[in-house]
Amino acid sequence: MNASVLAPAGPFAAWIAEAGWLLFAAGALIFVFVMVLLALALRRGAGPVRHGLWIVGGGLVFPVVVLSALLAYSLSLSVRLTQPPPADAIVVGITGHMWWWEVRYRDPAGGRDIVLANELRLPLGRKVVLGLSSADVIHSLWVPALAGKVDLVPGRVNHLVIAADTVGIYRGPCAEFCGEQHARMELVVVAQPEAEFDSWLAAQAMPAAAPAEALQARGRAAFIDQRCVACHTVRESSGVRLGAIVAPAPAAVAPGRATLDPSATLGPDLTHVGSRLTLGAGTLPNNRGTLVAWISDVQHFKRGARMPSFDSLDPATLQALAAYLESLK
Amino acid sequence: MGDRFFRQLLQGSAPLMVWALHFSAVYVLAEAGCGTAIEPALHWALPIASVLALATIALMLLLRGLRVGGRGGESVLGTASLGSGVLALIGVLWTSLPMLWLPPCGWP
Amino acid sequence: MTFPNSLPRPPEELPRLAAAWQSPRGWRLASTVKNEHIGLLYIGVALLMFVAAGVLALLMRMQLALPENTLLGANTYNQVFTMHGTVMMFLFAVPVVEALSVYLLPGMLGARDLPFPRLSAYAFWAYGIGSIVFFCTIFFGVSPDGGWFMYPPLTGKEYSPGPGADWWLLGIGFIEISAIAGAIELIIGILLTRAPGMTLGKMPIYAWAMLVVAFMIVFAFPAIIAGSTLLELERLLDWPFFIAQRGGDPLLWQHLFWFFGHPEVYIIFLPAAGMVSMMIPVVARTPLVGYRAVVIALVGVGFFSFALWVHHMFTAGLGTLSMAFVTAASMAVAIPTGVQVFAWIATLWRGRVQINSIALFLLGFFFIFVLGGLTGVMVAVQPFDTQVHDTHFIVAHLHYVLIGGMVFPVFAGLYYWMPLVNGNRLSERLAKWVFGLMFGGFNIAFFPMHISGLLGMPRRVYTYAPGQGLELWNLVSTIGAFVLAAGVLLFFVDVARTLLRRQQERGNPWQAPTTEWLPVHQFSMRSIPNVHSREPLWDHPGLPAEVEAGRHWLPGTSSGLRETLITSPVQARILHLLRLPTDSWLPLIAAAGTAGFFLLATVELYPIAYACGIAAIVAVVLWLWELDNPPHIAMAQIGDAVSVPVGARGSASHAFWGMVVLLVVDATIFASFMFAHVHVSMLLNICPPPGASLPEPIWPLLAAALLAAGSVAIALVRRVLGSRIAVGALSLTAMVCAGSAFAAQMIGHGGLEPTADAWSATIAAMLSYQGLHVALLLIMGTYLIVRSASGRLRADAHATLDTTTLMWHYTTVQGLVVLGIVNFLPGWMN
Repeated sequence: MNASVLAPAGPFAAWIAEAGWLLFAAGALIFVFVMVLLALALRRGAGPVRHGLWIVGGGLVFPVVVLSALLAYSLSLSVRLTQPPPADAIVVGITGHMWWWEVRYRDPAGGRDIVLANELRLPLGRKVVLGLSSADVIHSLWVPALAGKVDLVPGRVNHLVIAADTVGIYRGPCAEFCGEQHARMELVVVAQPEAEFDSWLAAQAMPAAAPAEALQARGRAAFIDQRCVACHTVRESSGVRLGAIVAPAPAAVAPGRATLDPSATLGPDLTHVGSRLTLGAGTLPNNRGTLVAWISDVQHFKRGARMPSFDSLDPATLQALAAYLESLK
Repeated sequence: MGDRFFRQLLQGSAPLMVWALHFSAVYVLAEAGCGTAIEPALHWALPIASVLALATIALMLLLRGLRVGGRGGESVLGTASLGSGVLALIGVLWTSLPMLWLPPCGWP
Repeated sequence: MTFPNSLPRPPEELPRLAAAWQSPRGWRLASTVKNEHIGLLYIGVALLMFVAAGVLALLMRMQLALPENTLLGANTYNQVFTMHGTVMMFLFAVPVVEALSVYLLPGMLGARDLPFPRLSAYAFWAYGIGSIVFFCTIFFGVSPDGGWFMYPPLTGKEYSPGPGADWWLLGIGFIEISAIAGAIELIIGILLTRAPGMTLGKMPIYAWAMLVVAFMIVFAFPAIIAGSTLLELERLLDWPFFIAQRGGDPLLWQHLFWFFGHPEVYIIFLPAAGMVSMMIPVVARTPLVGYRAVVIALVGVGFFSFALWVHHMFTAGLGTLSMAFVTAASMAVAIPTGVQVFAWIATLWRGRVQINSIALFLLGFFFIFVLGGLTGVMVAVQPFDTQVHDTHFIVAHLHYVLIGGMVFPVFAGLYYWMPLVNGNRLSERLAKWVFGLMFGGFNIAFFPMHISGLLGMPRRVYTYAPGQGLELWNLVSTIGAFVLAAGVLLFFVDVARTLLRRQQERGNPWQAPTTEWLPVHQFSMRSIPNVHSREPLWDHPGLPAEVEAGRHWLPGTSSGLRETLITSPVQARILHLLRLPTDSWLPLIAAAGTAGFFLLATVELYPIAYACGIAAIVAVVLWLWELDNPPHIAMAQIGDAVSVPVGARGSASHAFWGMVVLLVVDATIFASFMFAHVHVSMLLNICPPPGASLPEPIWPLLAAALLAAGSVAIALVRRVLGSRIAVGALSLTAMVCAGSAFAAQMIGHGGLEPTADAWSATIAAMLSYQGLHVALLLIMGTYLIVRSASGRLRADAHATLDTTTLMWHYTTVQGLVVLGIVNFLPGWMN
């Protein structure tokens, strides 16, 4: 998984990376120049100095020339990076929680929200507009390979236009200290060809697959019995929505200020959790074994997470739950 | 105290105070003006602020030049108004540069 | 050449001078107020904090040396990094530069001590007690863990329910008193107590730097004082300043914090730059090139640094054009910095440099600071910053500029000025090792962080996953950190050895040019020198002997007490004699009481906290009672043919101007509360928000009238000083007016519910601040009446009245502004 500012996989990151190399080169040159001057100055009796040359020439003219050029370059970069997105840009809403990412696409067929978590997929070459807010504290979305970061501030909706032009999987670590497990809050970003993206999105729009095997059915039952539904939603085809709506409506807020979607749940939507690459916002890879480990001992992997460790469950139930969740592709 | 301390302090730092005023004005206007009734006015208000600031600083430098004349700045406070003027001029110019390329209120 | 005083000096003059400046012995030395002792204690505690926070850094580096390390859990790590940053920035960086100025400036200015010695004693003890108690929270696991920058909502009650955040807000909050006291001391000291003839144009650059820094403290620190107060009120009383759901704004905190936070880093750097400007001429053995340019550069940095705060918020989603303005300003500050760098190199070029311990650390400063400054210019480019903000790239940048820009010059300064302490120098031989370990260790520790940041490692993470290419860089950083620590350890071993050596004749071991190197005793210099150049000891090699013989000003003591001279701010013409207070336990008691109040309130032990607060107030009152005395004689002889007035009254008095500076701080704190109100008002669609309302006009009008009446009453007291009854009556009238004005304001706001929304909360905050002032006025008014009744308020001793009057008028104006803003802003905005 790539997470390097200097290995851009999208146009915005590429412009910034190019600026970065320019800045390093210029900075290195100026640094060497000043150090050489310093070294020369240390020679004994280097000689008299012309005030004007040093103070005005070196101290004033030199920085003014260099920095004026830099300022112009910086502005041209800003202009490029703040162009309004095209009308056909995909809009995705991301809400930060402690310590996971709530991701909402719009279903192109129905216009409904498609809710998932901790993973963002992008079609190659198309601009995606991310609408960013937070349900609790300040977070920051940062996918170094694709763009600069933007903070997720409660009470505001910030925007980030992002685009990828290289297929790959990219890390998006949270970049604003948000509490105990700030270090374990990574958004996984997958850039894929448009056709693959479309089929992925269509699959995400579908309701959860009904359990095909007995083990999975037992897992689904356990999912309800163990009260996983208190925090996690799974959308099913029968119109039933397994999951509680628990966030209270926010107190009166002035119109125009961002508010929480009142149907948000306490924990990530698990309708298609089986299709995700990681668990726990980048903490563990996603497979049967890690699902068991996560459910039974989440506090070991991510101490302070809002989900308790279900360490009193017997191995059979855990296997069933894992099988069920794994099947939710 | 008979030293005309405050007068000299003011003379020495006046251009930088103009810079500070200019910066505060354009920053607050740009940050708080978008999405309000004054938004259309920003297109001309910001450049006017810059022109006014630059003119004021230029005037201050001119007056200083006339006052100090060929003696140049022998005293610290004498040179202060010159240096302060130069720094403030560059500061206002650079602050104004973005107005040439960026709209006052971008997307969204 | 004629001297102010001729020889021989009368035989009793020197013993009398020595007796006046005698310090207590043994444990009683804790009651000292002399800058040489307070300065050393202050420097000592600051360096202790440096080491303590450095140990925390080593813990962090040990945890990060390996991926998925389990040495420190997340919770512990978060406390450790929060404490590392908080202690370094608030309890080491600013204190150490203020402490050095307490120790060095009077000597460098040709004064015997600072103008308010008891105030600096108070400031030191408050800082000393507060910082040690604050640091100890780490041993109990109750340290703040929200980062040194304490962003809400994370640090609000909901997400940080424990006492950690309160320790920060109250603990660090009250330590800012020390910084403000230091600023007052510096402004008055630098402008009014310089040696005769030391015009502003001849003042050492370090004094210029500290003057600029003091003004910056006055305008920057109030923002954090106000911000911390608001966050503590939110946590304590649920006034929702930063809670978005109730009309507050998390960004309000960021604006307040960084408006302080950015100037703060220049408050840390400029004193070091000033020290560099003192040391480079010494190692190059030639005067500084471009003295005037450097002065203007310092002032330029001071101004420009106040426009940069938003560059810490480049990713918060603010407007593109306004961010570009800030980019421009962030680049502008590089120009005056560059002027200084070139002035320094030019000085070295012109001179003949000898590479000694001082020179080594100065060279280290150049290398590290210039590199850090260049990465600073890079991150001024907003688009680039959006990638590296909040990553280890910034960690690298900030350490390059802070360690390079402050720590290395301070170490150079410690090598340079150590002989002032007991005449001994630190070891030149060990210095090479200390430098090598520190310079090498620093670069090995921090350069790789540029790379790990660019590879995707955010800040403030307790661990990282393997396989991202971060392992090597983190391991290397950790090794570097320990090498750096070894250098620091070796340094302190040398310091201990040197301090334990016997007192020696100091002389002028570095052949330095400035007056702190004159011969000194317990009374500082024997006589206050006439100064005619920027390098007095170079241009006037006989000066030390002349001063020591008592040929210059004030070779004795007129009143038998401690004295120095007040001179005019620009030309340094002698104005009058300043009698300085003697040693006393009261500042220490007052400081302990203040510390006790804030620290005990943090753990909600309110009865004892209030008792401490009362003890502090009592101590302050007793302390003030001893001051403001009529002159012992009308004119004091300071030279053969020169006598000057003793003390000054009204606006000629240094205490008057000290009060003025305090009121500027006060006004800036109030302006910050006002900003909070305007900021949250701008977030509303209609003002007042639903459910809240403005007062009926009668109450604000009544309040305004009463405020004005109170000011008039107190202003009249000046004319009736002869009559105690009249003084008492007018003062009482003024107190009644002020009190009832506030009552009228409160009645008008009878329906105010601060917990309902941020708009109401900000009004409550402004009202509380006004109320605090009214309470202060009642105390000051009572004190004034008692003072007058005891016969101590006289035509030749009325500083008490002057300072009370200043505070009174300030409170009236503040009150009127509150009334205006609250009642007129909504109409204006709608």
